[in-house]
Amino acid sequence: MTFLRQVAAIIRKDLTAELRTIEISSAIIFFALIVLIIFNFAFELQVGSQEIQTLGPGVLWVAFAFSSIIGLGRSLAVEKDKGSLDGLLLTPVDRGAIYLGKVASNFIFTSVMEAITLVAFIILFNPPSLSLLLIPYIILGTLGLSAVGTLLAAVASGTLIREVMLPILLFPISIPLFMAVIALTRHAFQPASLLDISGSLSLLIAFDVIFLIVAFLLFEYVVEE
Amino acid sequence: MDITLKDLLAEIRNLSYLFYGYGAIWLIVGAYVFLLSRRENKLRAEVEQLKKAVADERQSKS
Amino acid sequence: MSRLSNRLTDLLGLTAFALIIIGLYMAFLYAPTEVNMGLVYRIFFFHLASVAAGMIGIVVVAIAGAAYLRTNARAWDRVAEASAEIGVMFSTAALVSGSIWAKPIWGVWWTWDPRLTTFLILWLIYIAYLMLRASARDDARVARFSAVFGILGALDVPLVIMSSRIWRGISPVLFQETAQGFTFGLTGEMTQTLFVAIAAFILLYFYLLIQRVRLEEIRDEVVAIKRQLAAR
Repeated sequence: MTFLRQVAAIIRKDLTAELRTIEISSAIIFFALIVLIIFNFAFELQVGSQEIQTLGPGVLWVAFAFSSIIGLGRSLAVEKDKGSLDGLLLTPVDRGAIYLGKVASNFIFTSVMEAITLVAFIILFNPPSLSLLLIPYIILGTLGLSAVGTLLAAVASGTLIREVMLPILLFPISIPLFMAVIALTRHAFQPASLLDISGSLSLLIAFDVIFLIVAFLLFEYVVEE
Repeated sequence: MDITLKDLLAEIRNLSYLFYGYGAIWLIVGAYVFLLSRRENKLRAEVEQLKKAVADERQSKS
Repeated sequence: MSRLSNRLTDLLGLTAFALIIIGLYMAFLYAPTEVNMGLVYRIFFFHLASVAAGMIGIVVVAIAGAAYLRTNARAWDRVAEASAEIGVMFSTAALVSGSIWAKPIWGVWWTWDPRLTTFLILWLIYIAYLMLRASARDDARVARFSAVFGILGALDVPLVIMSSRIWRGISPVLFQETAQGFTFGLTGEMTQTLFVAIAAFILLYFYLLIQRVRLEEIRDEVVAIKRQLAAR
C-alpha cells in the first residue's frame, strides 16, 4: 500500500468506527454546548450586544479547546482499550501514516464539533457581525491543535493518569496557537476594524507547519514499545 | 537636581524591593544547591551501605 | 569519573562563584544609578541572568532528548532530567525576580509583557515535563515520552515569544504601563555588568548540571546494586 493509501485507510477505519457508535462526537458536541451555556451564566452576556464582539472569541475558543481535548483523549483511549493500536502496530504500516491518519480523523471529529458549536453560538448569542473568514481561521487553529494533540495524546495515554496528563501537556504547548487564533477570531468578529492580523496569521501557519512536521517525525518514538 | 522628601522615601521603599528581589534569587538558587548536596550525601551513604551488604553476602557465601 | 573531570568541575564551580561575586559588586557599585528607575533596577542584572539560564535549560532538555531518541543511551536521559530540574529552578528565580521588579516600577505584581509571559509558559512546560517524568516512574518508555515532550517544549518557546509580542501589540488597553515604560538606555558599565552576571549564571547552570547528572549516576548505581542483591 502506498503511503497515502495507508493514511486514507486509517481515516476510513476511524470514521467507520465512530459512525457506528458516535460515542466521541456526541460527547464532545454536548460538552461544548454546556460550556457555552455556562459562559452565558458566568458573564451574563447580553444577546446581540457589543459585548459579544469582545468576549465572543474567547468564549468560543474555550469551548473548542476543552471539547477537543476530551475528543483527543477519548479517541486514543478507545484505541488502547480495544487493543486496535497494538494490532495496527504489528502490521508494517508506516508509523508516520498512522500519525497523519489519526491527525486527519481527529481534525474531522473536532471540526464537526466546532461547526455545530459555532451554529449554537450564533443562535444563542446573536453576534452583531461575523465574517466568513472565521472558517479558515478555525480550520488553521484546529489543524495545529490536532497535530500536537494527537502526538501528546499518544504520550499521555502511556501514563498512569492519562486523562489529566493530556491537558497538562497540551495547553502550555498550544498557548501560541490560542493567542494567534483568538486574535484572528476577534478580527472575524469585527471585520470592519483595522486590526492587523498578518502577524497572527503567519504565526498560526508557522505553528501548524512546524509542529506537523516535528510530530510526524516523533510519533514513531512514542508508539514503539 | 532637586530631591524631595517624597522621592527619598520612595527610594527607600524601592530598596526593600531590591533586597527582596535579590534575596528571592539567592534563596531559590541556594535552596536548590543545598538540597542537591544533601541528596548526594544521602545517596553516597546508601551506596556505601549497599556495597558493604554485597561484600558481607560474598563473605558469607564463601 | 576521572580525577581530571572532578578537578575541572571544581574549577567550573569556583569560576562561577567568582563571577557571581564580581557580578554582585558590579551590579551594586560599578553600574551607575538609572535615571528613571532609581536603585531598584539593579535587580535586572541577575534577573536576566536567571532568564538566560532558564532558556539554556530547555534547549539542553530538547537536545539531550533528541540525542536520547537517536542513541537510546541512558546518559542523555540523565542530562535531560537534570537540565529540567535546574531549568525550572532558574525559571522560578526569573519569574519571582521579574515580578518583584515589576511591583515598584509598574505598581502591579504581574504584567503580561512578552518576557514574563514567555517565562510563565516556559515554567509551565518545565513543570509539565517533570510531571510527565513522575507519572510514569517505572515505565521504560518514560525517557522517550519526556524526550518527545522536551523537544516540543523547546520549539514552542520562540513561538510563545513571538505570539506574546503580537498579542501585546493588539491589546494596548491592558498595558498602560508601557507609557511609563520599559524605557531605559543601557550604558557601557551596565552592559558589562549584565555580561558578567549572565556569564556567571550560565557557568553556574553547567556546574549544577554536572553535579545533578552525577547524582543520577549514583542513583542508577544504587538501583543496579539493589537489583544484584535481589537476584541472589
